[in-house]
Amino acid sequence: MSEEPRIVTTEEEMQRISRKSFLWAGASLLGAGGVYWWLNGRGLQGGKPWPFRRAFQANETLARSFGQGSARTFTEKDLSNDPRTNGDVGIADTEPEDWKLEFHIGEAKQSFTLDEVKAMPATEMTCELNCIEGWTRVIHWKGVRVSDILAKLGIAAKDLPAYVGLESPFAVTTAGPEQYYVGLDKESFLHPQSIFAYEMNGAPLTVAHGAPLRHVLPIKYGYKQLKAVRLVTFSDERPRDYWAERGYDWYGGF
Amino acid sequence: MNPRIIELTVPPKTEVRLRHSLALRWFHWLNVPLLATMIWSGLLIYWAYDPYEIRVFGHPFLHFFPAPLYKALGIEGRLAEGLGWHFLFMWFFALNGLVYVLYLGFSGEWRHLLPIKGSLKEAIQVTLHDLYLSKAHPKIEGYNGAQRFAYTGIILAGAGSLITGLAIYKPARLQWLASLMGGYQFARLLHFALMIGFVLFFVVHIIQVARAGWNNFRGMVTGYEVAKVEEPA
Repeated sequence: MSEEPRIVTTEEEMQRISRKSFLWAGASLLGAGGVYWWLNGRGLQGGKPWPFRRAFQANETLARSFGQGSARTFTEKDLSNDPRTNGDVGIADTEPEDWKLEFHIGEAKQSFTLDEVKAMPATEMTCELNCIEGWTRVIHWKGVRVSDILAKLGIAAKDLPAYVGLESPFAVTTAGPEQYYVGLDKESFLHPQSIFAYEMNGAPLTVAHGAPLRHVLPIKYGYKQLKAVRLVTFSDERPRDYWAERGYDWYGGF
Repeated sequence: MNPRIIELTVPPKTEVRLRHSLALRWFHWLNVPLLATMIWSGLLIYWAYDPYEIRVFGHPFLHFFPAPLYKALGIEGRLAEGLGWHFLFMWFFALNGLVYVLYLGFSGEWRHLLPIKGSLKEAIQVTLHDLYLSKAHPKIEGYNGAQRFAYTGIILAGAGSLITGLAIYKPARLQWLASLMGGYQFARLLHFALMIGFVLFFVVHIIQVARAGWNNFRGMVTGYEVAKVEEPA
């Protein structure tokens, strides 16, 4: 049983190699299509197929292992002359009446009037506001450091739960425009560049920019910086977050 | 079974010759869907703030990108989706690129790729020839000067994309990097310009592959080419 020896031509040899390789190529194409199909078909978590949500979370864990860093500061000459408002979610037409800044810490409730907030030591900073859309504005803020308010309340950072929830006035009354609420990790909330501001570019905040008091946190995207802050709560669970429910990263930090 | 030795009276004129290693082909073909995903998701992100344009004598000449293009490609209002893809696939894109560069280093194949003495002159000759401006084409073994510059350049562009990408991804933790890149907005512009560079590379690459013909393309898929056997000296 022996086959006749025969000469394999170059073309035959090349065809044999090609057949194998192009089968691989076809299978790889199918595989790539399969990955795409699989990813897009996963169940949604906060408006995203879960693998993308998990990737956001893994990226967050990695970033937080590097500490916090701080946002670049600017000078007065860098100020943008056209600060944008870019949306009115959670913003009313007029300044909320009987506004108070409320802190709910466990069972305890504390509140401040605007005058009481303004009586605290003021902090000013000139920072870039980075929108998730990609545009930025350099703005000068004046307000009170969050850590100063907590010190005033006699609360040590280590005694606080891991997460902070911020809500605009309408989250409390559930009337009026759509609610806006933000969830933050405690470390970001207590960052030295985390302030509740009542002045923007040297003038009192306007309603569209979050009067009477807005959160400014330049180590995160703008969608994590709540305008017209009314209520601050603390919890061990991640508080709900308006844009994280709509497909964006819950963390949103730089 | 005894191996039989067959002596050919007429030596073959062609042979099957290895052109691209298996590893190199995997890096290359993996990069296709990865880079495509990064560019596509990048466009979904860029749409949300699309200020870049080319001006000629102060007049807008080409805006990136015209509204009809967004509409035709269906990329309007998909920012969150784009961010999801971009920040997942950046890992695979970076990993593939990194392993590729390490492979080039350890295998010694970087010698085929980096420009060498004479590459610049050769690159000019090849470019003039391919633009039909000159008839002379230098005789070259392996990659010519134009290819060496292109293939080295595209690696640098990949590295640049990762660096500028990091600067706009984490401008607080990597504030020094963002500053080094000229600030957040300039880093974003560079990131965009590098993407345009990838697209231009792709266009020229496809044209050159089409011109080089089937045997060359098949070489990138199979690794082998049909080559002429050199006459014994």
